[in-house]
Order: sequence, then structure tokens, then C-alpha cells
Amino acid sequence: MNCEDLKPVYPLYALGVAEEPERTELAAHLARQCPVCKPGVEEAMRMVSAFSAVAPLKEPPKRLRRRVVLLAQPDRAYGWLSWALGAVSLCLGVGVAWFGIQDYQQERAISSLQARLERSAGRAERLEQTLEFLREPETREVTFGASGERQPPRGRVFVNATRGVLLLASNLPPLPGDRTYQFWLIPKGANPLPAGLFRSDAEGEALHLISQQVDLSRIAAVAVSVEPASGSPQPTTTPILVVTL
Amino acid sequence: MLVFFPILFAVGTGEDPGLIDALRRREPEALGRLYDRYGKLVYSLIYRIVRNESVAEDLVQETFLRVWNRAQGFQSDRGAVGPWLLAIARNRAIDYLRSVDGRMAKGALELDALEHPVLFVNIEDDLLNTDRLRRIRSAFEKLNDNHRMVLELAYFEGLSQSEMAERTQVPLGTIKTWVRAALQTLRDEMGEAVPA
Repeated sequence: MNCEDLKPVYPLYALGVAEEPERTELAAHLARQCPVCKPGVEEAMRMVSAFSAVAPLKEPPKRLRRRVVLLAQPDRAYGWLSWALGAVSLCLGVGVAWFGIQDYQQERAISSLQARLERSAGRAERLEQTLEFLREPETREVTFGASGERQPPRGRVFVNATRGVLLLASNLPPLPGDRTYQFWLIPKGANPLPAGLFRSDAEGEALHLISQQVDLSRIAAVAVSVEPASGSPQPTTTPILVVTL
Repeated sequence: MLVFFPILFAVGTGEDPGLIDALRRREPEALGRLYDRYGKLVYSLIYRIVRNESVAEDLVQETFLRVWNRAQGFQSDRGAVGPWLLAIARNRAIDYLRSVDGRMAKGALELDALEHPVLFVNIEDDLLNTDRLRRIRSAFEKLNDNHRMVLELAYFEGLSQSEMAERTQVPLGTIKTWVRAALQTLRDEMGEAVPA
């Protein structure tokens, strides 16, 4: 397939929707620095990169900057995790040297492994936050769901006035792509307050942590409902679970 | 205007001089500078994809970690780190969606190739400038519903054209026509030199 044949594929490739065999063919042209296809795809990448402008702006939490900055200070912030990541990366490097693997397919495999390692680092931090929450003496637990029923959502809610609310749920039914679970704090005598969106995993389990101060004397219950993927200002469906605090 | 074009105010014009060099030298403060410049944009993009605040935080962290680990592969004299960062952010978020949905790898988009630094070396520094972002937003708004839908399914959900056809129950040929027409319209609106 020559460069002229591939020109219509450039924007599709940049968007990530090019199909076979054109995708592999164009990737091969790029791998060998094709003087026609490479600038063509770069032009397409210029346009696709700007698609992010369509996303509504959302303010990240203040703590996120701290988490990111700590990534650059592995000795203090990540300790054993950095050593573990380093050791695994070293093993990967030795493996690569040993087998002399430098072609495109293997590079992608390594990239995938590194992505998993990075994801593990993120999950480890999230679990650490959860453990800190659970260790707090002020944290108290409320269970919900009858174990005798067939497949009801069930789990535990942990509340802490200074740290927030943690939901551990299981048996959550799978949702279509355009729907999500939404967590609610229900004040006494007032409308529910949105408290974040979450999804369950393939086993129907979910962990959702709201890290904020909560006036527990004003909160009567927490609830979960199924909402459109972008969330709702108020519940639009009957909650699948309501837990009285 | 701020309400309708909020993301236009997320970044300034031009790159932070020396930022890429500082990242390549692994100067710890460089990561903070990078976050200050693009953190809001990256978080907004990832949240738009995963719709979950805590997951978005994790994925932002993964994104910046990846940039930190790979910055040495980025050419300092050319290229813009912002578009590269956003490509990585999008890939991390879509990768997460796929893992949650259990979407198969076969036929799904292979996005890793789209975040290789070499694809960003000739992208100009001010790619994410205000005027350009306003034009892309305006161009999106001029798309008809079907054309906008397929671009959003591709960009924000990482669906292949076959997956879009399955999701929307529209024939694959029609989806392909919509995707090409949408990209063509954007190209015309943006004045991009992208082959149609």
C-alpha cells in the first residue's frame, strides 16, 4: 500500500479509528519515518489533540497537585513502591537486552506493562488513603443489605466527620455505557446532595471514597442511584440502596 | 462566554520555556510546573471520559508519572509537551474504561502508538492556544448530531467504528461515512491541512 493510498487514513489513524489492514500498514510507514506519511499524520494529530477542548472544564482537588509533585520525589513519597517499580523495570530492561527485542510489537508490550505498573502505583495510593480512613478511631461502620436475599447490593458504609464517607459495595448490577452509579448524602429534611460518580468492576464490586468534612449530625442517610453518565443534580431514578446512618 | 467555553481558559499561549528540558533533566520542580500549566486540562479531559472523580485523580497521577518517566524521549528543541500529555491522558482514561467494561482488545483501538513522542515533535508550541481551542469548539458545535456523536464516541470513549455501529445500531457503512464527513467538516472549519 503506497503513501497515496494511505492519505485518507491519516485523520482516522490520529483519531484512533483506522481499521485493518490500513492501520498496520500506516504504522509500518511511521516506524520507518516515511517522509510522506509522518508529516501527514502529524498534521492530523494537530487537529485531534485539540478535541480535548470539547471537555467541560472541571477543577481538580487541591490534593491532586501534591500527589503529582510527589511522583518526582521517589525517596520520600514512594519508598518501597519505587524500589519495586525500579526492580521490575530493571528486569524488563535486562529481558529486553537478553532477547534483543527491539521491534514494534515488543515495544508495545513493554509499554503496556509499564502502564500497568503505573496504574498499580495509583491504586496503591488509593488503597493507602482508604486504609488511613479506616484506621481513624472516629470512623464508624454501617452495614447494609440482607445476606439472605438472592443478589441484593450489599456492603458497608464507613463515616468519619473529618475524613468523609467510604462506600464498599458488592452485587452491583452491571450498567450500560451511558449510565453510572451516583452516590448521595441525604440531609435531614432536605434534598439529596450529590457525592460523586462511580462504576462497579466486572464482579459488581465498587469502592467509593468521598474525602471531605461531613456534618454527620445533619446527614440522615446515604444512597446510590443509577444516573446518566454525566451524573444528575438530583436523583432521577429510585435509589438501588439507601443506608440510614 | 466563560460558561460555554470554559476549557479555553485552562491554558495560556505558548509553552513554558525550558520546561521540557527541565523534565528531561528530571528536575523535581518541573513536574509541578507541568501540573500547574496542564493539570486542570488533563483532569477535565480524564473526568469527561471516566465520569468518576477518584478514578480521574488516579489516572491524572498515572499520566504525569508516564510523562516523568518518558520525558527523555521527547525532543527539547521541537514539539509541544501539552498535546503529548493530553494524548497520554486520553489513552490512560480509555484504557481504564475498557478494563471496566471488559471490552475486548480485538478490534478495539490501539492507542499506545498514538502517544509516542515522535508524533509530537513537529507540533507547534501554541497548539493549545486560546484562539485555536475556541475554533475547535466552535467547529464541533457546527457538526450535526450524528457527526458529533461519532467523534465523541471515538475520542472520549475510544470506540472503534465497528463498536460504534454495535452501540448505536447503525450500519457500519453509515458510521464510516459519518466519521469521515465529521473529520472533513472539522478540517474545513479549522483550515487544517489534513487529507480527507
